[in-house]
Amino acid sequence: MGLATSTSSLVQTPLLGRLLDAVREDQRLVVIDLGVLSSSLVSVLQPFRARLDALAIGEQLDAWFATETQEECSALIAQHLMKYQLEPADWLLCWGFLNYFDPPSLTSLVGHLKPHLKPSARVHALIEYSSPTMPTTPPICELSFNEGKTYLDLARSRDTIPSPRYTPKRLEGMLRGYQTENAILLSNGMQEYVFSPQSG
Amino acid sequence: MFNKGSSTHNDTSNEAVAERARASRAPSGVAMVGASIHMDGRLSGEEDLLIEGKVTGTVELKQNTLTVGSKGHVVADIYGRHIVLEGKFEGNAFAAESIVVRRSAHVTGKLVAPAVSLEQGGYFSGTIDMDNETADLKKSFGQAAPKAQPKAKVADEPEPVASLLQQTYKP
Repeated sequence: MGLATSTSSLVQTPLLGRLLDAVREDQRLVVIDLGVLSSSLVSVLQPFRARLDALAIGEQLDAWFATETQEECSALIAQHLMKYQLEPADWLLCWGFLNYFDPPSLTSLVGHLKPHLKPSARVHALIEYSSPTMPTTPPICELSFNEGKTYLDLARSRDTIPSPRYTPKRLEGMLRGYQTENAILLSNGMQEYVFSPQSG
Repeated sequence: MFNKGSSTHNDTSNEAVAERARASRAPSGVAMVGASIHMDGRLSGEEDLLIEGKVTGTVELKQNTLTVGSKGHVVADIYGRHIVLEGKFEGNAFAAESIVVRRSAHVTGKLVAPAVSLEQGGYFSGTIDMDNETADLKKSFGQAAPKAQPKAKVADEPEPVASLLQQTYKP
C-alpha cells in the first residue's frame, strides 16, 4: 500500500495503554499478532522477556475466502497455524482484521487459535465501527506514546468496501468463549475492544 | 636455482591467494560470501562475515557479527553474537546479543535474541523471542546477554509520530 493510496491517522488507544502498563518486568509475555509485527511494538517490548508471533494472515485471506466450503477454509487456517510453533499466549492482537471475516470463518479462526491462548488471555481488537465503509485491506499500525498516553498511527487504504459493522454482541458470538471486557469508541470512528475469556 | 624458481612460484601463488582473499572481502575488510557463490552445508568461523550469495544449511559464528546482505539469500539456522538481516532470510536465527532486521529485508522464521529490532518497512513473518532466559539461547550460547532494564513506565516515553513510517502490508 503506497503512501499515495493511503491515509494516516493517529488515534489514542486507552485500552492498549492499560494492557502495556500492566506488563511486569519479570513476566514472560507471549503475544500473537494476526498481522505483520509493528516495529514499534517490538521496540516497546524489547526490554521485557517477550515473545511475539506474527501470523501475517493478511496474505492468506484471499486463499481462505476462495474456498468453496467452510471445512476447506478451516483446513487452510489449520495448515497456516501449523507453521508456527505457538506457545500459550497472553495477548491476541487483531488490529483491523475482524471485519474482514465472515462469521463462520472468524469463528473457525478463533477456534483454531483458542488452544494457543492462556486461560487468562486477552484479545485486543480494533474494528471499523461508525463508518458504513472500511478500507479494502486492514490498516498498518504503529505504536507511539505522548505524555503518558498510548496512540496507534493507522495507515489505511483510501479505497473502501462496505463494512459489516459488527456489534459487540455479534463479535462475541463469533469469538466463541470470549466476552467483551471493555470497549471504547475512538475518535476516528473505530472501536477498541478488549475481550476476555468467558467465566465458567 | 631451485630455491629461486620455487620462490618465484610461491610469490605468484601467494599473490593469487592474496588476490582471491581480497576478492572475498567486502570493502570494509569483512569476510564475504560473494553474490555468485552458492554454499550448502555447515559454515563456521571466528570472524565477522557478510553473505551476499546463497547459503543453505547452518552458519555458526557465535562470537562474531553475521550479516545477510541485501543481495544475500540464506535458508539456514544461523548463530552469531550480532546478526544483521538486510536480504532474504528463511530459518532460525539465534544471537547472543542482538538481531537487526533492516527495511530491505524479507524474513520468514524465528529470531531469538535478548534484543531484536525491526526497521519499519522490513518484512517479517514468524516468531521473535526476546527472552534471554529461553532454552534456545541457553542451549546455543550458555548464557545470553542480560536484558536492558525496562523503562519505569513505557507510556512516559514520548516519541514523535512523524518518525514512524508504515510497515509493508502485502494482501
